Amino acid sequence: MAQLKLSGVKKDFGGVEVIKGVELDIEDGEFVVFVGPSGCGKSTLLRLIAGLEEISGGTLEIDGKVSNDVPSRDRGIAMVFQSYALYPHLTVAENMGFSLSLRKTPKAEIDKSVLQAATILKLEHLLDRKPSQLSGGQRQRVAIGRAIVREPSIFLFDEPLSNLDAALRMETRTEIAKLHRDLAATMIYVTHDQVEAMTLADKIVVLKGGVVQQVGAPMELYRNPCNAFVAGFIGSPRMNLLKVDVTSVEDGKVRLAQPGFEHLVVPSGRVSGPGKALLGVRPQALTLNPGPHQVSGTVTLVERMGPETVISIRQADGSPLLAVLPGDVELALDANVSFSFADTDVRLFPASDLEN
Amino acid sequence: MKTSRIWQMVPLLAPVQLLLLSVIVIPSVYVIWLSFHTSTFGQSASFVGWGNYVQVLTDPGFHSALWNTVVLVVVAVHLEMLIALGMALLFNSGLWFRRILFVAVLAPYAVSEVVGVAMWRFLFDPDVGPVSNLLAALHLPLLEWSYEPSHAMIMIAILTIWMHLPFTFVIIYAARLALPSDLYEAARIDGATPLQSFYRVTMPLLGPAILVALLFRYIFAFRLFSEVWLLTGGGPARTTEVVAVYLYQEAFTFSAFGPAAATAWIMVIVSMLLASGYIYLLRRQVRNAG
Repeated sequence: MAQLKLSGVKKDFGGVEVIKGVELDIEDGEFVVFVGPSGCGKSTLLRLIAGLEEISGGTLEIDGKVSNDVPSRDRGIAMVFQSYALYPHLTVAENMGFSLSLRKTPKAEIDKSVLQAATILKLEHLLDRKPSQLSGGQRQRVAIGRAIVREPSIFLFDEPLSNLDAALRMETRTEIAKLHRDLAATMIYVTHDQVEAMTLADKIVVLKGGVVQQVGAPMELYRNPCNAFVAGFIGSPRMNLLKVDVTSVEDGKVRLAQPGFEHLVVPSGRVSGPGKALLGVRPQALTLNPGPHQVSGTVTLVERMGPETVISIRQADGSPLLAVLPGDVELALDANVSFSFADTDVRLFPASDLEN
Repeated sequence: MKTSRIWQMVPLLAPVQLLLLSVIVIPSVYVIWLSFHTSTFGQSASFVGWGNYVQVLTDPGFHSALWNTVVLVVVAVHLEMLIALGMALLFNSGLWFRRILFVAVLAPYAVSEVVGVAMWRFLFDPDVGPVSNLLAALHLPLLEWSYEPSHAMIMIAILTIWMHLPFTFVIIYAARLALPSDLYEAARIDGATPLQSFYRVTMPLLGPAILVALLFRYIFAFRLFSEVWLLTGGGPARTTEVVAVYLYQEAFTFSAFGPAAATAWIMVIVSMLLASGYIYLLRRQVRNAG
């Protein structure tokens, strides 16, 4: 069990700053997910916490103790790597008990801890195998087992599911969630998959370019994204961001110039004056029923999934738009369609959000 | 395949077969025949059975040559392995000027053995050699390799290590480069000190490469010839003779072709024993890995 506090944490590699001052509090027993596109610094941030990289600036506190220079082995952490990083010359049992054998723990005690972890993960029948004799999913479970045996106060996961196939990924995700419930340890999990983030996290940290964009509970991020990047990243399929012109801002309400949006009044959010802006509409908020606010275009693709239908359209200005309609909807390609949406389903962001 | 097809192929394969036959098969068979006969210049060979083998195996000269060979193999090959391992780990830990140093380390392999020995002879020349002069200036003991047998053996060992280090180094270094870095990160998090990482991760994983390099080197070193022949010629007074030099002396100094042929076959059999040990271990590894 442990709390973490990151204050102004920075990391640069030969003058290139990849983590630009991260402030973050992680509570005891919390499941925190770092999410972002590749190169956003999420793995680096995890490695800074693990002690695999040196922190260039700021402080990392574990349980109130500044731990910048504490070696990995004394931080009370265990890590599960994307590549599993199992020792190929050791059996499953030896892999799992490696940390204990380094500490010269008596063999009987090691065997007991290993068996306990193996039982949790249903690995008992594989204890004598070498990693090369295991499937990807089994290797992943061994890597998790190795972490459990250490009885760490913080579990670190670095994209643990990205080498597994879809079915196995879902199964392992459920197992990790269950593990968190049973062990009640603090867990930090890195992924680029927003579905994993939404389903596992107590708290999501969205990163972009080494900067934290937003921290919050999954539904909080889904409902109130602080900027267009978070809005586009959280939720699947991604939120539509329509380019609009703001004509006036009055009493925190905005009016737009676009045809079809004349009657739309939206909260201004961070938009302060007339000019370009982005209007975020989730694909699920669009309906074929007529309404006061409309977007229209020609159908370019219809994906019929059964319980829902994903429709891609191209608007008059050439920009794409996605709509997700419940049930099975038949629409011809190149047909003209109009979708409507409610005032309450849109968010306005400054156009500058998607620059840089 | 039809017999007629095979006969059509024979002319195309014949040149290689003839070459192999003439430089390997016929000489080998001839040496076997020779090893059961006494033969020298101007005398017709006469059959002596196992006589030559008995003579060689009971000759004190052969014993001392065998002893010298074993000492050189054991000392030089293992010392060389330690140096190669140390250097491979040093290179891997991020060395300055790594490319230039890499070329420097590999250079001895590009130098002809004769040139290499001539160079070392000059460097350690008791009168004008720069290294000898330096040792003298520092009041350190000189390497009196030209008349002190134990010094000559040290000199031979240094020379053979220098000459074959690139081979051992490249095998170990390549094996070390192939080890993924996240294993070491996992070990660090598991609580391993750098020394524990070395003993519990690096060494077991380098094991197969070390084994391969060692066995190759045992076989090469057992046939050690040019370093000894060019440096001391087996002297002073045959004290630094190795098995290959013994064979050469028997054949071309004493013109005793029978015992020389027997020595040659003893060397082949010992090399084959080493090689079969190597193949056995290799097969076991392949089976374990699969």
